[in-house]
Amino acid sequence: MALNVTLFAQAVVFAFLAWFTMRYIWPPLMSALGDREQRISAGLADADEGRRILKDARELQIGMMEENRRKAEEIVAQAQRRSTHIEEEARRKAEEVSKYIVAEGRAEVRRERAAARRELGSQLATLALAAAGRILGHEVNAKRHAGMLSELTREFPGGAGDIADGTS
Amino acid sequence: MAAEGQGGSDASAYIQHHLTNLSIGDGFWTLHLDTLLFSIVLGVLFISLFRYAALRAVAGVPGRLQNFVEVMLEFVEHQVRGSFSGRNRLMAPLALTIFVWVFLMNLMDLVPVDLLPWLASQGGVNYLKVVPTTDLNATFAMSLSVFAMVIYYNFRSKGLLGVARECFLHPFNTIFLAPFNLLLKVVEELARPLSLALRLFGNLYAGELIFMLIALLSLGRVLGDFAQLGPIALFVSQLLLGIVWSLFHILVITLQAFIFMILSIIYLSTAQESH
Repeated sequence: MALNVTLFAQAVVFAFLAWFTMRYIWPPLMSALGDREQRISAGLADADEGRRILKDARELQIGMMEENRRKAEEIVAQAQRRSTHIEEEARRKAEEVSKYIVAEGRAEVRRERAAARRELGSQLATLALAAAGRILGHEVNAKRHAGMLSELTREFPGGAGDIADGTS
Repeated sequence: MAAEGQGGSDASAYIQHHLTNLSIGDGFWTLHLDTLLFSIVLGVLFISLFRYAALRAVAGVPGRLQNFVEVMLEFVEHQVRGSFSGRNRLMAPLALTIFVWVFLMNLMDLVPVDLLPWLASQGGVNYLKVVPTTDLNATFAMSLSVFAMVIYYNFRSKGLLGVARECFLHPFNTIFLAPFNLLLKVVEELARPLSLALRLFGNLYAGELIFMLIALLSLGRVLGDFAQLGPIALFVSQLLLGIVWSLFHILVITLQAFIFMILSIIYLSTAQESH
């Protein structure tokens, strides 16, 4: 049981074990631990960064959606204004055109009526001459009575003298 | 013990046999081969296992072995950092070595007390003590190594003058009481390695002794009346007592390894504090 040289042998073994641990075991394991610690903290930092970016992106997205909605509404409103405008324009033009057509139609009618009257007047004159000739027993010379005929024709209502009067 | 007569001498012979080291040499030059063999085998087991883990250590997801080794490392690192103010790259590895080596040596106490000696006797080796920490040489080897380091660090951090002042002017700060102060200091310093070594030795020695006594119970030679209960009762009682003591002993061996480590750290850290 007494102490003997075993003690020194044991001390040598102990010293060797401690030296070996310090030299070959502790450093690689500690560096692995340190590396992992760094990786974990870097990962956590990255996660935080990612979360922050995501939050920003969400805010941006919400902002953009709002903006887009606003723009869309504006466009719709603009389109509505424009369509109303176009409609009014079209109606206005259509009215114009219809007025023009109506006026044109009326002028045409008047012109035709005047032409018809003129025709009728001249035919009436011819007819009157023929009737007069028959009554008088001889032919009325158209050339000789040309002045009278044109006077008659002018007196005929609706003749060349009052074409402008469209109400009659 | 109540052992008497034939049974008593058998029992003491049994215990005596178990407490004898396998040794060569005489007197001071005696070498306890069993202590050396087991402590070296366990030490090599420790460093090869940890070295293997260290070689395969990755910063990524650790495997089972690496995890275990890292837990040990961080546990020791935490302890060292807790009581160590300065930086010394020997301290933590030293503490790890002490803890794991002492634990492994203590663990040999849980090997059935007669198994290895019996195997050895089959091979013609008559004496074998399997628990190195029940050998004072092993425990003193560590505590005196720590003591030597304490002395070295004391001189290194405080200088010759500082150490002298601590020896002669503490606790009584007068030159007239210098011899008394020195005496106190010597006692104080010597008490540390002594208590360190004897605590570990005593706990393990006693534990081993109790395993022997439990083993003796089944031999039926210790408690004469008890032996008449028959072999089955003896076997069961041996089994129960062995299990109970083993379970308790798991605590003891871990605790003793831890205590040895933590006290070494504390002694070494106080030695390195410069005032």
